[in-house]
Amino acid sequence: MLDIVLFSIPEALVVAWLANTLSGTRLPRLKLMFVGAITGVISNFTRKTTSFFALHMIVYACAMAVLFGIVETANAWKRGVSVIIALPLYLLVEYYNILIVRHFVSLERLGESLVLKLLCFAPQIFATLLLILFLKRTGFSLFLNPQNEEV
Amino acid sequence: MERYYRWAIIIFSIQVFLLTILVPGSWAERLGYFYPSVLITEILRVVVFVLCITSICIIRQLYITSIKMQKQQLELMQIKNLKEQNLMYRQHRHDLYNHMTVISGLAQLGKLDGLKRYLDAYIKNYSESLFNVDTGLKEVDVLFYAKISKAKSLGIDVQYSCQETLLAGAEQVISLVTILANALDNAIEAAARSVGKKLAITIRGDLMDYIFEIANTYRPVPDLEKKLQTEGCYAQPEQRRGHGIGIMRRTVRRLQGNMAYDVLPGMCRLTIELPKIILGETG
Repeated sequence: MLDIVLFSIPEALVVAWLANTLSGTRLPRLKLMFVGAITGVISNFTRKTTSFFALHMIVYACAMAVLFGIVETANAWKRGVSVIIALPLYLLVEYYNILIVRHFVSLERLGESLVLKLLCFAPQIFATLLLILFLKRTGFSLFLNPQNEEV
Repeated sequence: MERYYRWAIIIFSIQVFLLTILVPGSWAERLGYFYPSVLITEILRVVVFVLCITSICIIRQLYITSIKMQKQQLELMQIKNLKEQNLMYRQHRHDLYNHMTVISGLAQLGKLDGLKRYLDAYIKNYSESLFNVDTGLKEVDVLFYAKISKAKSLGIDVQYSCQETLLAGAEQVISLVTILANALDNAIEAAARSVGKKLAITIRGDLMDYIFEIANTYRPVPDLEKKLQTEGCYAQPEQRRGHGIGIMRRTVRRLQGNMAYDVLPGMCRLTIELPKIILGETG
């Protein structure tokens, strides 16, 4: 349970936020949190039931895309594309985070201490948040808003 | 058309996704976080392969679409110019009807001296409005014809000289028209506000470049040379205008050419040099 609240849901929340920023549409925060929370729970479940990374990621992406489609039916394909671009971005941030973290902490020790695990997990969340902030500040998105699409 | 773009976007995104999960996936499996799965990895490889094959068709369709769009852009430009020409012909026809009414009136009243004077003035005016533009490019001809007519209608004395036949590919014609249209618009606007009201257009060439010279009289503006480097030549700050020069600079740069303004007392001259080899590319 603690794993879901501390790791899976925050992770899914930032991915959902990143996908939302990339899509260029602005979902209400409540809907975004709903997508993040449910995806986090599903992710934790699939992580424990499937032991294959690729399958886990495909289920993760599908779940998030479907949930986005449920909360907002318009521009479903744009959100779908944003999810499958946001997820690799997050994965690569995570990949580089672990590459750096393993220089300081032995990865085997992460299972022993929850605080240590949280400390190692936090940088990838902050890095993704920084990326979101950068995208928001620059106004960058994969798609233009409908009123600007004539440009 | 949008269908192909959408498919291209979707296929590209899925490929990025699958390739990305293959890379950290194998790393996560090596670290022991996940079990390695030969079957799933093989399926992913096959899916990526199929997507690559599909990409070939999509890329081809995108290329065809881009060519169609280019043609469409050219046709739109031609239609726009034809509309302008049509408007000019209609104005001429309307003028002709008015002149005939005056001539008929003078003839009926028997005022032969007045009729003679009127006809002389009309013929002089008519011969001035008739001119021939032949640069070698239909689109540029129509543009010059429309702009010169507009300048003449504003009372500007126009001198036009073309010493070199232009050759350009379809894509480059659009860029060339963009540059010349903006240059001529600026020059006409400036000349119309000036005291002398003169405009001189020269097209010539050397071994490497086509050289377009557009010289016009202008109303003195403070810091004109500085403004020409940054914003619109005749821009009024409160009107937020003057994007034309920026567009011209970007387009000239894209065609690997040069443009420069020479501000002389009472005369402003724009020289644009465009490489023949770049303009002639058929893309």
